[in-house]
Amino acid sequence: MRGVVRSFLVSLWFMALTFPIVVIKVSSLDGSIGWRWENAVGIGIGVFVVSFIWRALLVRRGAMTPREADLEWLFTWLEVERNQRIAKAVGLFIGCNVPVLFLVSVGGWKGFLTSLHALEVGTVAALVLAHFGMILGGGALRGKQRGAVAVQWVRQTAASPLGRKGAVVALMAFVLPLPFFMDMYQVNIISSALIWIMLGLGLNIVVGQAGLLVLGYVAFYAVGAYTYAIGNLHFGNEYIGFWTFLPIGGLLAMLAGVLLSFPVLRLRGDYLAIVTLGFGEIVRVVLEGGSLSLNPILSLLPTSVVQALPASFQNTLDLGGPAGIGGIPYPGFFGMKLSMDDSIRLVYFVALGLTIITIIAVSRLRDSRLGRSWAALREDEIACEAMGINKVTAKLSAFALGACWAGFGGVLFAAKTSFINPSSFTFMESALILSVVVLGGLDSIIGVALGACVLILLPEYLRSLNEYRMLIFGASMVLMMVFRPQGLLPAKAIKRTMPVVTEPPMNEKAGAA
Amino acid sequence: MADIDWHYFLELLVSGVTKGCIYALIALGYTMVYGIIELINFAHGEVYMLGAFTGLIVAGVLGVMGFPETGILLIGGVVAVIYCSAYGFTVEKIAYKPLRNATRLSPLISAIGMSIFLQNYVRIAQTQDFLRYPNLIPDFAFLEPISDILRPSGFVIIVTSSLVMAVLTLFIKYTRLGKAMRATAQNRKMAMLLGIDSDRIISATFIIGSALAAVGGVLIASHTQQINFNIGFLAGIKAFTAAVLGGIGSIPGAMLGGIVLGCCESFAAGYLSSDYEDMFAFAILILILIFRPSGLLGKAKVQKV
Repeated sequence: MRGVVRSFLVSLWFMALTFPIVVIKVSSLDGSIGWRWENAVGIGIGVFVVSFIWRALLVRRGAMTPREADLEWLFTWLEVERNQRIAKAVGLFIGCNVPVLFLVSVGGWKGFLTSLHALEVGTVAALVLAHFGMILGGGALRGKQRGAVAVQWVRQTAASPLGRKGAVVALMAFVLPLPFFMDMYQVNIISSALIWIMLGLGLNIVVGQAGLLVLGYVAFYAVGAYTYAIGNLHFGNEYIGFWTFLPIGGLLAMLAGVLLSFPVLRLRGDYLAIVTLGFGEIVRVVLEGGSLSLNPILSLLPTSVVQALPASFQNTLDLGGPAGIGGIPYPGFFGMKLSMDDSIRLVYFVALGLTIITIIAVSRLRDSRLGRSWAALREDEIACEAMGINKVTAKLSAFALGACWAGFGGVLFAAKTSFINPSSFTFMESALILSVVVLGGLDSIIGVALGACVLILLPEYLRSLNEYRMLIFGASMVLMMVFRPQGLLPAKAIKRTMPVVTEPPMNEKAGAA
Repeated sequence: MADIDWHYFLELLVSGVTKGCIYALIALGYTMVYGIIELINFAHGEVYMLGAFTGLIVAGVLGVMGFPETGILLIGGVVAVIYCSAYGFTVEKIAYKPLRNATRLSPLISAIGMSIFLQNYVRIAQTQDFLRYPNLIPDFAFLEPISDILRPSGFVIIVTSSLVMAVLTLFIKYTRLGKAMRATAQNRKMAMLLGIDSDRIISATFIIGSALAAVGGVLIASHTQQINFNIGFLAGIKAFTAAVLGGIGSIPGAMLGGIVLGCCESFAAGYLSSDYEDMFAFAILILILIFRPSGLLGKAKVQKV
């Protein structure tokens, strides 16, 4: 009973708190006032339910005792094993249907059905799978433990090397022929999800592996994209194109990463975050400014080199300003003339190839000497220095490698969209890449890939969700940090312990003596 | 030296101080929170934006009811302060309190999430367009002669924020709560051992910081006369720069830092180039962090292991 009163009070508090913003709307045209009472009711009911779940989850996390949460009755009831199963099934049922409920509440039944139309294979499969899991859970509820057997099977397959290879082969067999069956719109979306996986993995090197919070990651992405766009504008011809600028973009982004990392080498976590945020904003402001004076750089070069450059490349560099740069060509394929559709397919395969290379590189890096030193840096900077790890090298290399992948991603992005402007490189993009990494699980490769797919594909397919996209991201970032800081699919910490020589415990010895 | 345009100089100085006062008001919230729980409260800029919005909505409602303009400004300000304090309190309880013992990265990411959430909450519940803010500040007769340098709104900003900052200084220095706050900032564990309830102090810090941000929000909105849902982002970062400039954790430092930053920006925009006005704040931030990370008034901390 006290729990109910408490939730009621919380919901009253939130209704009062959100009242001016959510209920009152002042028209900017004539100053008339609209009262939207239905919103207050919605918030009241929503908060009432959420506050129960919130407290129950806090108790489960161990941040509260059932008594403090006024949920003693719930946890006493849960002590019985059968009740636990019931609770699990109910929880699964609600969990599976929350997206459906949400979509219905946002767009109404009609909106939900149209969004179902737009739902493609992946999302439908995910929903079906979720419900299937729920049924299995229900099976377990009846004591047959079918769900447990299925889970066991998945775990065992994932653990055995053969099972893993099989899974990779099956995945490749699924993704390789994909662009020949889907229409080009879909292929484009999947290509962008692949680019985001690359970005997420790149940022994961810096944030997840080395523990350096970077909030201006999009700046490196912009460096890559603008390298291709500007390079193509000035030097592009049939020989110099995407494949030339891909490594150059990566290298330039890497250079930007190193340049940025010098001033921030000494900074601790949160200062680092804000400085990199500032760096990202500076890059955006410069891009919006429209031109960059090249004289300081050109004066360093010998005159013969400068004169050999195209005229448009001397003195100032045109960055396109807020309007951006267009007409960026698709990647070429050994000088063949490709149709529009084939070009889009090619972008997909390039993205896929780069993603695979990234995944291999990142997982190899993690187990390398460098990767180990990053992990040490992340866990404890002082202890890491004391172990003789060169902090400067570790930080510089993390920045450089992380930025490099953003550069590749940027070049590919420019090639995919054939038009770029500064509004693709705002802080929100940085925050999105960060939430990909955080949602998936810091330092977990599969997690990051999953995070990118969820965050990029879902809003693409669920258009009615689009308006709420950032709201949900913000909320999920907070919720993840509070309830599951390790992410959806967390990385397993490598445990290699020394063999322990068993000794009888102290008190037994004392007792014997 | 006759070619110095003093009038232009004064104009820039006054506009710099006006802007600086607002930065200082927001920076105080950052610096107080940082002093106590070592967290950059990214959502603080959003609280400032909420203050501006609440002020606008209250003004709209009261305007329809036919209140006089000065009354609207006062009531709007008070309501905004109350609401923002409540927001600050709630944000702390939801996003930071459960993370008190987590790693450093978690509360920071949670704060960024909160900031994104609040921005979009206002965008969805209200509008994403710029809203015109009503002109609520009366014309003061005694400002007539210098009206081209100091607008009435600028005058109100400077006077109000000086007053608020003076009250805050006295509060921190002499009241029981203020002393407890200083003690907690110095050493939280020790303060707890002496019987100070640190949860209460943290809540109080968030409430006071948010109230200051709300004052800043209402004032700046009546000065620039337009608001939208993401004014908090840039203002927040600049205020954070101001806090770092003054020495994070130091209350007089935040006030000084805000005013210095405002003046720097104003002069740079006036004498160099106005295109890159927003860039100077970031450039200053990066330079301070390289050359004097402890800020103007901060003390260099020796890290003990």
